[in-house]
Amino acid sequence: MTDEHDTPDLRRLGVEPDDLDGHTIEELGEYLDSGRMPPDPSIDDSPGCLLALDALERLRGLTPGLIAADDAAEPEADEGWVQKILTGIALDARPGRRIPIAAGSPHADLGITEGAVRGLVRAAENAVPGVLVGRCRLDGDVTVAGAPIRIRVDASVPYGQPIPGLADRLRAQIAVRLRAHTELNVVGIDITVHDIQLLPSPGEEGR
Amino acid sequence: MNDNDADLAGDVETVLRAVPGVAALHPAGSAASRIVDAGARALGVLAGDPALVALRRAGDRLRVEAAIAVRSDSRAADAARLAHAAVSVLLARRGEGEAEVRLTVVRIESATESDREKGTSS
Repeated sequence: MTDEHDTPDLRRLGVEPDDLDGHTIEELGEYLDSGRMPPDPSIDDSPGCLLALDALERLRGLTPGLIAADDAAEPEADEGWVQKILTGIALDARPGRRIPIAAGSPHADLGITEGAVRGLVRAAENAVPGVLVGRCRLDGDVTVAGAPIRIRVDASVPYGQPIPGLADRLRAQIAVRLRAHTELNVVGIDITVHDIQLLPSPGEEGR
Repeated sequence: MNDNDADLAGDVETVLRAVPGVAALHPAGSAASRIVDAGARALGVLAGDPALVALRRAGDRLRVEAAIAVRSDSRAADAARLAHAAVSVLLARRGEGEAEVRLTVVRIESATESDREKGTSS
């Protein structure tokens, strides 16, 4: 089985422009900054760009102060957690494999892209405040109906909250979404917490 | 694509947009072809909007292809099946009942997007 996430040289912020239909994650960030004006059809019509924009909006909505705190932190050997998440957004937005949907007609060929499913998994972070999904992988042959699939998610969590509880809530939200929208035979959802973020108190949040 | 097929593609697009749960259509084709297409439009080599429904004929065989986005409050698999059923009815009426229909869900809208659209449509 191949997994595009395992390509080492893609584990960086500067993913190739064609990963997002010819755009980079930086360009999409600038597009958000401009309020998506003037409209750019090459972004607005691209499922990959829209998936990435959804994730970028959630990231920015978490708290501008948190991102600024990361930017201001002492340089570390490892790349910043925001950059890791940005890289994950760009990777996860790619269409990937096509996952079959049962059709019941010999003339129908129905499917959902792996990118759409990863977007669905990432969106579960909305339901668990402070949690951000860094990367998401679907391990197993998703192109074969009924094949066992493990979902592997890297996450960042806020400091001060019990990690097992946050992971359980995120796992439950992911499971609900996958059951609602896909016919995947999900045999497990593994969540790895890679970063713990110190959330500013309400009065400290930058605006 | 001849005029009849262009009309049929337009009608398929209209039918798909009316399917409950379908939020939007995205240009059909591979990522590479979309990039080339977008570049050609930017240079003025191509005019108009990109095709949202692709029709291909090979002999007597017709293949219809489209990429859809689904609302978050709908089930993607159900929306895809509903979309196929709606397109099949249209194709049967046009004497194309044996056509292969390939539909791909390429995105599930965020809940806020779906809520926003509900607000604007009510």
